[in-house]
Amino acid sequence: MLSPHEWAALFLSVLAGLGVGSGGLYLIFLTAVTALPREEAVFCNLLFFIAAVLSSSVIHLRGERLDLSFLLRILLFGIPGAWLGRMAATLLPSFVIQILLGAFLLFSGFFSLITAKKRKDGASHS
Amino acid sequence: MKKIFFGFPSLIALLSGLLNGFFGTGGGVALWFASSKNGNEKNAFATSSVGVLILSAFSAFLYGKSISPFAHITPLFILLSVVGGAIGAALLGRLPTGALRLLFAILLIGSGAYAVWKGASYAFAT
Repeated sequence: MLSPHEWAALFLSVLAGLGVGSGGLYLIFLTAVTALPREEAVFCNLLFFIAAVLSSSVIHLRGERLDLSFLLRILLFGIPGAWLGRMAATLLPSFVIQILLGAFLLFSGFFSLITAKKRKDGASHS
Repeated sequence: MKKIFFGFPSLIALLSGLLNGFFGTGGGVALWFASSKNGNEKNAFATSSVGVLILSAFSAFLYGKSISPFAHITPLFILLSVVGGAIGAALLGRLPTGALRLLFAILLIGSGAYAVWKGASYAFAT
């Protein structure tokens, strides 16, 4: 029998594989339901995400070409950015990061709703 | 050479890295947006998927350094994430995308509101 966090990993990885993302939902689940310390929850979430997107990418990316210049930018700027973000996270209490993450997810959710509505309105007018 | 170091795509790569390192999640949508604006909309999904995998792997390395191994990272957990991602990829195109995006937006808003509430409750309690 699967544990709650394993069921959550299975369900949310399907969403990630569909390309709609997992959006930190598994991270919220881990901190809320399992009460894992934040650092361990983040590590668990990242491993979950890598596993889910890696397997779906093998299927999605067949025949696709990559923008290598943009990937180079990610290496040159994104990697140092991730390091800076990690360092910044060590300076703030966990509850502050949780509030900021919540605000980020709220923004992402409303942004998704607005863009989905715009897409629907655009499709109905064409 | 100048084009690599300046411009909107580099800024987005940095911002995506910051988000990923700080929260332990996120950055994918921003990468997709920047990649598609970079004139490669067709391959934006593939590029952003690989990009966010790179950032997540590096962030996982940064977070994993500071914790000791724990019970949640089991082979079954990784297997479920891989299987779920593959199921999601296989279902892509077979499920209504609009409904999925709406579901995802609702989940984001719900979990975001919960995270803000939980963080604020902790802040007021201490």
